[in-house]
Amino acid sequence: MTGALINSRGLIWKEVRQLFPLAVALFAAGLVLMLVAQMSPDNIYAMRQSGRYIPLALPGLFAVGVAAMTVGQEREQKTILWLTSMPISPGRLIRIKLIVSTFALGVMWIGCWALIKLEMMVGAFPGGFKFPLLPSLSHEASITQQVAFLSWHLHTFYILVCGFYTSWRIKNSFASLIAIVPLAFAPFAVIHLGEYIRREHVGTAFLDPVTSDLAALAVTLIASVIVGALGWRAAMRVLSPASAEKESKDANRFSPYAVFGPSFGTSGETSRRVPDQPFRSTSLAIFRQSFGSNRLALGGILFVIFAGVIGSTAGGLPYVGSSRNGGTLLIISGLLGVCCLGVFAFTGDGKAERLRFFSDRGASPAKLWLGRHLLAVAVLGFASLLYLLVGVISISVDSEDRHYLYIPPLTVVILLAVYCYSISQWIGQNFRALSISLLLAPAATAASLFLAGAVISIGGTTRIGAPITIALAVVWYFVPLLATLLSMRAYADGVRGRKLIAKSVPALILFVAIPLIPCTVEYVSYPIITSTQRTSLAQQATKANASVRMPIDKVSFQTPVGRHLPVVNRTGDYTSEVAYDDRDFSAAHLANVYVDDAQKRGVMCEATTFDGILSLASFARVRFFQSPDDQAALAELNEWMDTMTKLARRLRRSPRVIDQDHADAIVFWLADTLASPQCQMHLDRPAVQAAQELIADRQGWSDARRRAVLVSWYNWNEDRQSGAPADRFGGYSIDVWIRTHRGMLGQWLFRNHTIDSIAFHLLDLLDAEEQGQSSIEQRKTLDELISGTYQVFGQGPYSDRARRKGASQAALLNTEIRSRYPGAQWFAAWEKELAQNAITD
Amino acid sequence: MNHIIQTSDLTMRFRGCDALRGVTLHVDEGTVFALLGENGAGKTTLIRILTGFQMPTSGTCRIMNLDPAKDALEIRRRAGYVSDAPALYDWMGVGEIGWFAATLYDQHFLPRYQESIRRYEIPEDRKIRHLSKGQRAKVALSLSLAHDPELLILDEPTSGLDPKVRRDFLESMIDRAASGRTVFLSSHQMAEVERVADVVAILHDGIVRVCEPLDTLKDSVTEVAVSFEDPLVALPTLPAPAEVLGEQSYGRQRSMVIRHYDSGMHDLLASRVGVTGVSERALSLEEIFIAFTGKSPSRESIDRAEVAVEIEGGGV
Repeated sequence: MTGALINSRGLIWKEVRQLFPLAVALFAAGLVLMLVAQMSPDNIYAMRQSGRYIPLALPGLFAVGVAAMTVGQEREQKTILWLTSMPISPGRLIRIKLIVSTFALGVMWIGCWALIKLEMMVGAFPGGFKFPLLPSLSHEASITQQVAFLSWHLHTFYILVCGFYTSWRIKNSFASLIAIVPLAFAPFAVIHLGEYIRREHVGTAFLDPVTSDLAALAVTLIASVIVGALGWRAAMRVLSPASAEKESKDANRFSPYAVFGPSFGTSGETSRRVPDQPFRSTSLAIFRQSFGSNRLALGGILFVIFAGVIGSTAGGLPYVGSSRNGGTLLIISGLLGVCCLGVFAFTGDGKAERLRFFSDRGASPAKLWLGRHLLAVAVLGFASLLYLLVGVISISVDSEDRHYLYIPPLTVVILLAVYCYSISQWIGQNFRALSISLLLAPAATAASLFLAGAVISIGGTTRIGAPITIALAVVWYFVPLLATLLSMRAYADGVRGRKLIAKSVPALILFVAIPLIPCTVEYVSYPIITSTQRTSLAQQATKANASVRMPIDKVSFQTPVGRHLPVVNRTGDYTSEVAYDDRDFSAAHLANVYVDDAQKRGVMCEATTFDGILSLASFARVRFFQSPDDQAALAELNEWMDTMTKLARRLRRSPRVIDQDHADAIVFWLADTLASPQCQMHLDRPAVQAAQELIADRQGWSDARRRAVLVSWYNWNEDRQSGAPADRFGGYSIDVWIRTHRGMLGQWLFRNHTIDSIAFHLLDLLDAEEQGQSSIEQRKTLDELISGTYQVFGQGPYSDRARRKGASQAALLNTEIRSRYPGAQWFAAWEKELAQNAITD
Repeated sequence: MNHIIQTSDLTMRFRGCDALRGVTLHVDEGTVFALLGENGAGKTTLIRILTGFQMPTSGTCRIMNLDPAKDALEIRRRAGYVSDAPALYDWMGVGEIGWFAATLYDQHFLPRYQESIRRYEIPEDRKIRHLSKGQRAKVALSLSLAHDPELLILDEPTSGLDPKVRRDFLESMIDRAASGRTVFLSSHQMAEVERVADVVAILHDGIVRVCEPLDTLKDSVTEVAVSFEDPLVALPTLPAPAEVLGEQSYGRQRSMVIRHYDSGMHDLLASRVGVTGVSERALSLEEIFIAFTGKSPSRESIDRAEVAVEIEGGGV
């Protein structure tokens, strides 16, 4: 064993070296895609969900490319000729290639699991990792996971074996790579066929998913053995001496040592009619050349593209509509086909050495470029017509599935397809290794689209205006095509590798920079505070924090004696707090507001709890207003007024900004209640008098707010620096502010600046109002910081319109507004009116 | 002397084209054997059969007393082979490819390879892709020679080499033959073959037209230029074993390439009525090759013959 290893170390080393670039390229692409998925806006939930599974795709993609690197490339570059001229048996050569590839696939799986572990560490799988597309079974979760684990690993091995078979069987690398696709799906087809036959015989009886999965596993295993045997046979045929009979009969069979070209002496070739007149256009000659060779590969690409067109449009047709999920798969495969078409532009007859034939005869780079893209124009044009035709027929057919059918607009499809093509042809021109190009092209397309989506959602597009945004988008869209056009001369002159990529660097910079322009504009115009202002803020906050004790009490519904509500068993296997469930609350349930020894301490109240309190108090008020003579209703309202008064006093002592807004809402509620005619008759009640005192006592409101802003900022800053989750500022969710409008990149760029700026401008608002000045500028900035550029200020919660007396009621008593926009009602009309009344009284 | 290569009636048919038509060859050990032929004559096909890459349609073949179809591995272990366009792994370094190949041979391979590379002054750390065409050919040659093969089979070995290296290489081939090794090469470079080959075979249309030691071959083929008073004068048929390989007329002169020509035939031609002069000239290998492969002698050789005839004619 050791001796065999030593004898084979050179071969093993060679195979590893050949696979290394593929593994590195895949890991790099995977990491970029993962990053992009993580940076994607939250509202594209599916992207996030799918992005988590990117590591799982890497071994599969690797399995696709392995044979192309170790077999296809060797056959294409004819290095296998030299290799087999040395004393090495075909069997040993095949074995080593297969063993090293399988081992490398294992390494890819280890890397994949490492990446998944990394994702789990950053919280991508909150409920633990689970393979996608699995049924939600709780009692069989473990065994299903284990079977899925085996299936995923085995299927990637199966794909690897398929790759070996196609690479040995088909000389053309491109065609061999495309041929993997139907083979890879063959076990699924067999499984579905088996399921169909089973249903035909026994009906739609329930089949245990685990049994079903194990059956699928067995099919894949058998398929691996069969395709492996076929691959071995194909490899032995290639590496063994070419038999005379075969050579004399089969003109198209591959032989690495073939003496004559494929056209030599064949009657079919010699009898092919040569046109009397040559092409007068170089581009047309190149276009003709595009489908003159590599016909197998081109046929495969066209098949996949047209299958995608049918899959995306034929959902309404009978017998097709029932497989809507299959349609989605076909759409994806269609786009993959377009990516292959892009790579195809610069492979085969599009290779530099072939194009040089034209270049040496005076063909301009532009003509070469055009000639290589005419095929794509023809294919995509025909596919568009087919899309339109099938779509129209599909929509006109009256079927049940038609109601579920969504056919994207043709314009969107064309734009997407051309984009996929343009990125892929750029990759194809710059990367010589076909397997890397073919794997990188769809990955780069997806990554660039996601990245653009993540960046564009930052909001700067609104700021720079629609015309400029559209102009930038058009330039960005066509940069890949322009890049290949501009580097065509170098390409046709045989420049390759790093030198050729260097030619594309300016275009690449432009391609990356254009989507960043809105982001940059946003960053430049963002109301970031200066370092001096921040230092001043920090000093004030430190000082304020020293004099304040953070409240430990949190308002919650409790029993009147201060205990938590009893938990009872409910039908349906769940428990519930009895009073909460029965909606049988009274002010007494807020017992912790009354704890005597805590009266001088502040209290925190969550927005949802406060919403409940406000609703219950308002309900008591409505009952009293409906029956002013009902003593029980009066007593209940009194009790609520007393509770609300005490709660407001304690909330004022809280150093959280949101609690100040809660306190404002209570004051407004009390003032509104006292102003009612029904309450005028009971002004002598202690609770009413206490409420009046609270309303009249406006001293310190502004100080409480200022202190709350400073301490809230201080605590947030402490959390951030200590590494604790700094996702809340003064009781408000920072993520709600930032994610909605700015995406992940926006969070990364602006998160800290946003909070600094909000705190600073809240303080500035207080200063302005205390000095009797207008706070509109501060409110505009706050509106921009919190709402982004999507909302017109005049219609937002910080506008004068929302601060009128009539509007304030809605703003203060609305949970969503109150829990999202800090200080929106500070010094609003209602507050100023109260202050004026207090002075008058 | 033992035959290191023996082929008997080899035929190879490719898709309606006969690449080889009954090739029978015997190559002795310790010789430099040159296989000459035009493009498409079947040279590479024959080499593929010899190296076990191709099964013949019919006929037998033995290399070092081994059957290439069955013992290809042993033949490759004991023989060296360089194709006309060796495709090496261009991502490997010069040193790396030697190390890689050494893992398939004995422990003497690597030192010999490194010595060879040093002699050719190729940096070991340079990637193959960065080498010139000639340097690649040198690396390929070094790789094929490093295991000191009993038989070296070379397909156009010196294409891409500069004159100095070509000369050194050819001399090393002579040295190999002198040390008992056998070199089998196919080439278009007649001057080189003429310099090093012990035995030459000319393959034409899949048939071995001639296979003889070089000296014998050169001695046996003569160009005869005959001048006439009247261009319509007919020449007599030459007696056996003479064989006219080619014949061309230019006015009152006729040029013939004749195999197995002797002085008796000179007299026969000169004594013919109407013949004003007969001259003979030894041919170069290239001219012999062209004669055997049915090409016209060059205009230059005709002119030279004309001058010779005039001189002779003047002397009569």
